[in-house]
Amino acid sequence: MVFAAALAAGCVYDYGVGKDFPHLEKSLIVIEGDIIAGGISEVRVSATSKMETTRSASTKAEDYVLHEPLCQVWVESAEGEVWPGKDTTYVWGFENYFDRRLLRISYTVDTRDLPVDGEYRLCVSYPDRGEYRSKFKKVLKAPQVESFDFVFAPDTSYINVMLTSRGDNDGARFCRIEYEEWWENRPPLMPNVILYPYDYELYILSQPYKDSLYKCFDKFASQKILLEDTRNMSENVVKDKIVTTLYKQQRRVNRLYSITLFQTPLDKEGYDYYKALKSNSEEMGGLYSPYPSEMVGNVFSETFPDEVVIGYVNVCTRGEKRIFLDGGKLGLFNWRKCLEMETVEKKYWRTTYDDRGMRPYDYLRKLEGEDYVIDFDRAYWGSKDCFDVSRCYEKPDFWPR
Amino acid sequence: MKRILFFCMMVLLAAQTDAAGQKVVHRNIGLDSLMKVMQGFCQGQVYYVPGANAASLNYTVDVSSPGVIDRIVGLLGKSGYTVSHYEGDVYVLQGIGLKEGLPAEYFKFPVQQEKDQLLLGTLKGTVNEASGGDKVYQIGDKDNVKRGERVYLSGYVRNYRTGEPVVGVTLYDNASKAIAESDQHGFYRIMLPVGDVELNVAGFSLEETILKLNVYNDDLLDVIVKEKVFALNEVVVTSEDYNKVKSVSMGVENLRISAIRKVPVVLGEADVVKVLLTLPGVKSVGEASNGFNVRGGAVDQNLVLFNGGTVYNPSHMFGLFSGFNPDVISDVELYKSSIPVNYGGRISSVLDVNTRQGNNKKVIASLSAGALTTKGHIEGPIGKKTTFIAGGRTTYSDWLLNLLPKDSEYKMGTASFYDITAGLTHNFNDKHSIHFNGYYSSDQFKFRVNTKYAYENMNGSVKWRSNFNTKHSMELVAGYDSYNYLTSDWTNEVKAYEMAFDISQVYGRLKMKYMPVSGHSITYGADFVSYGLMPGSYLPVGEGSLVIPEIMADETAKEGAVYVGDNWAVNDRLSVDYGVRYSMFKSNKFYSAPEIRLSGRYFINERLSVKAGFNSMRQYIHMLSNTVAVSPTDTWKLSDKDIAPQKGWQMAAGAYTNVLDDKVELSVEAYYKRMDNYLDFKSGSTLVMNSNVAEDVVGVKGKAYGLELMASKPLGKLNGWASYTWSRTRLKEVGDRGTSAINRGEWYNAAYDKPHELKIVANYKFTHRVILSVNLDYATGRPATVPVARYDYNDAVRLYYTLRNSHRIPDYFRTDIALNLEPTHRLKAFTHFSFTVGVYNATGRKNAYSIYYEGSATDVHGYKLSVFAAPIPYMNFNFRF
Repeated sequence: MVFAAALAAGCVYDYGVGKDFPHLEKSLIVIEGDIIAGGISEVRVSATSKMETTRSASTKAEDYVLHEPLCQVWVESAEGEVWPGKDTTYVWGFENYFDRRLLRISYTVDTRDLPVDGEYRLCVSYPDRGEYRSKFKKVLKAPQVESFDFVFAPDTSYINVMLTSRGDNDGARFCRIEYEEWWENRPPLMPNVILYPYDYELYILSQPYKDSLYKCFDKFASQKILLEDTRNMSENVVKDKIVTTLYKQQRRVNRLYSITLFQTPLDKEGYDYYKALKSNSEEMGGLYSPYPSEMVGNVFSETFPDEVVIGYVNVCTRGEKRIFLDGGKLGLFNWRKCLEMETVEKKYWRTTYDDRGMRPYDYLRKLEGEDYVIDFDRAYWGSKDCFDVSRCYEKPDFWPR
Repeated sequence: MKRILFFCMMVLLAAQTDAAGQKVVHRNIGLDSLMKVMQGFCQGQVYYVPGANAASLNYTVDVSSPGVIDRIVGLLGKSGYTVSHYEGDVYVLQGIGLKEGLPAEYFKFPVQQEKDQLLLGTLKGTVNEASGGDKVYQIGDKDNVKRGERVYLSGYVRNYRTGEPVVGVTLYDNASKAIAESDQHGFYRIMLPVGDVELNVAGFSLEETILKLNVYNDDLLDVIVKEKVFALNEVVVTSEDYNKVKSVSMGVENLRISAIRKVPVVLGEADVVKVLLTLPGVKSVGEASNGFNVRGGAVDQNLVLFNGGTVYNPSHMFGLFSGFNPDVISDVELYKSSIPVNYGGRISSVLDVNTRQGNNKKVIASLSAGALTTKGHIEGPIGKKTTFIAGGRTTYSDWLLNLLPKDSEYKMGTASFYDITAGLTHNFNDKHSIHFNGYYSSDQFKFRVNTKYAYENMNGSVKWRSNFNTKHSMELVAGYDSYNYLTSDWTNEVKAYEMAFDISQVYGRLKMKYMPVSGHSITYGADFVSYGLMPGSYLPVGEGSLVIPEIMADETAKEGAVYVGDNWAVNDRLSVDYGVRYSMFKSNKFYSAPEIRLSGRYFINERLSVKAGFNSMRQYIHMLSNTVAVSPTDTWKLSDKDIAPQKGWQMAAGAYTNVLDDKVELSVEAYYKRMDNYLDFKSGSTLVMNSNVAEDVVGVKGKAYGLELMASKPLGKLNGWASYTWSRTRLKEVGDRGTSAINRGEWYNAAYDKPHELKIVANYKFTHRVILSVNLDYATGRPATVPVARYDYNDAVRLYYTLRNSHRIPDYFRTDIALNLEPTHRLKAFTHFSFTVGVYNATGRKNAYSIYYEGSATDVHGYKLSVFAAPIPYMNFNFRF
């Protein structure tokens, strides 16, 4: 395989999504989320769409909006006790200036007081499709996170974020690892003018600057499926698991960076489900790739028992740990090197400095450090993302400064 | 001398004067010039072989006075040359010249005669030898004539030059319609009528010979065949073509290694399996894939035999190369349809690969180097009755991996393999011989520094052959086969492990051939195999590893079979092969069943025959694989109480004819095949280290049908073949798993279902040493499983699959070109050099190996993977000495 992979290294080409692909006559309901004992359970209810559906190709705003019906979501114990859920909406997407809003609905269920010795299931009432329920499952206890830290490579060219955890030997022998990254973007140049992404007009800012315009926050949630299996080990331990790797000059380490670990235990059924999901999503196309497999979850339709439902609802406690890294202090990111790539070319501006009777340098204030080379015809202020207000998240509550 | 003078013109009274009538004397001329002078006085052609001292010779000869030839002959005689004549030409040879007859006193030296006879016996292995010509050979005792009956003639077909047995040579008598073919040991047996017989001997790249026989009674006769001087040996389809019309069997492909070498393949490595893929009915899921599929059968349904031993993984380097060193291979036979009764254990096909026995006249060796591999071999006689052959091959492919970009995760990977093949043959006498064969192959590769993958094949066998009499012969084989693989990963200290799998078998086979009466040739015998299978072990590596050692319980089983079959020449037009094989298998459950073999041929006329056949087969061992292409780390499983044997049957019919003065052969074959108890797997199943694998497998039934058209032109400046195949292979899960069933329980396409295939192999011979070969391959794109819907999950777009193999990747088309420079035909040359330069995928077409889809945060991206997406040039050098 390595040889074939070697040969294949330069031999992967784009290939379109065929309009002639087979498609489902009726979309399938997708239910995603775990019941977190001792925490807030987040649930997403959505439906499959056709393969050729695309978000970036259309110019119509309405195409970017998923018209998801509002569902009823609740958690139910085997004894019939109910924990009701509530819906929340939020904006999702915005990879670049051209993206539009995408409305998603998510639901939360406050399960902080869920007794850990019971059996629970998730219930969803979906308009026109009936009710869906997951199988009753006992609460699986999350392994104890022993360490979650940054480990620098000897030459400091990269940093591994590594996890060591330990569970009961007779506890769940499988687990899934997720993480969420937050980082602060703060270019060394404070802008006085911004290019507004929706009309490409220059806007003059008044003093004092809003914090989020030169100091903004971005985040990323893990999309790869990370699984661990300790069945064949004498101790239920995950040791030195590389959760993710950070590299020098990666934007996310320009200033303060944080990563939060979520470790959820799984039973064999759940492990098999996520393994299949991982295989279907991340391991296709190789010479020895397995056949894609149909996902068999643990959610079923009460109304139409033969209906296929995508989703696996796990019931568990969750291990969490957050750590910070100050990339600015460690000098992991050199802003001078990324000015150009972080800016918008002048040709895209609808107005110029001259139109407004301004000199470019009037509107630039050096905040710290040395002199920075700025090409005013090409570079425009500091970080592009800092002007992309849609991408710029508000400072999270846990941010230390 | 008089004769010499007679053949040289003396019209000028051997006098040559210049225009002025002056005397002409050639002074201080060399041997070459002297020969030119001599040519001027001779009608015939003057041939000469310069000796080692030729450069130092110089002559002075007066050509203006009579007696020139006498003077030249005298001069040559003084410098050690003899002048002879033969059929009008003059031969100037060092030392003793051509002999025109045996010395009168030759037969007065019995000791010498006995010695020669012994030497001849070693060569022939039998009492008489025949090599054609006008000579009439007496078969049997003239005083004991079997009047009104047929007699048995048997013996070996041997190569004139090397003394090695020649496989696949057809011997036939047109008058009586008797036909026979030499087996893998060159042995033949044919039943002939008493009286005058003209026995035709034909084989690929051999001089066609007609033996004139006076047949009186049973006898032995070795047939010595000569290769054509300018052998058109770039044809792949060999003597099979001569008897496709005549033989009863159908769906048999016979390849000779000399032909395999000419077909351009990737990286220029002559490859048995890759050449098989140029034949109709043989496919693979894609380039660089392990294994092959025959007429809709799965890869594990092919029995791959190497000198009789089973090779479980006949490939190197992820399928780029097959596991057989072409330097030592003699012939390859692939049975696609009429599987002989002595073969069993797989339901789709039998690939029988045999090595040569070794040159019995002199020791020769070869060495060759290609882009990725180097190989060599040595063979020759040991004493008078024993021959040996040994070959080895290894790779130096790491340089290719080093070319990868610095940030490639495979940059630190390595890949290597080697294989060793050895054989020893000892002929006790003309009736008994013993053959030892051994084979070992090893592959190792690493994805990354802290991982290792390795697998090994090992085969050893000893075969005893006896020809009891002209009617009866025996072949008794005992052997040991083994295959194992190992994977290990010590990237993470606590999870560091080593996983291993091993299968081995001890076997014995007894095969008897008996020709009791005219028109019948009976094959009967018994097979026995004892399997030992270690399904898996999972062990810790290093002190820090927390892996719990686990060794799965061994599986053992015994498989046996008895069989009998008869080839019955009902009349001049109709011949029938029929037989039954009764196979038995015992693990923790006993299975047994008869397997039927039936095929027949009917001559419509001399050049047109039709055939039909039916086979049923059983298979008691299964490969566990849930990948599209067979992986080097797939495991095997024996049938047991939970996993039933695979069953299959095939019926086929065809028509065969030779046209254009027998220069072009046309054939059409149609088949329909059914398979039962083929194993497929539930979604997400684990196949390694799974002690309850039966719970993860599902039974599948299959049907395959197709039509194969083939036209071949074996000889001529332009030769080769073209074939078109239309075929389908469909599978269906058996059982009641409802919506969980593969493809919802409906029929689906097998991964290697490619309905249309067109294959052309053409060779053009510019001179007797320069050959251009072209290989064209077109096929419908293979099936692929594509997503039917998308959905959001875990902050990314995910894909939903449900219909197995419902779509197809783009059609496949490839052109390969090779220019072969053949070795010199000078027999006395110390080294023979050959050279091949070629381009694989000359058009650089980016054929898809697979298409696949990945979801990002917002969208789905489709990708096409091409294994060889550009022209791949190659060169190969080969030295034989």
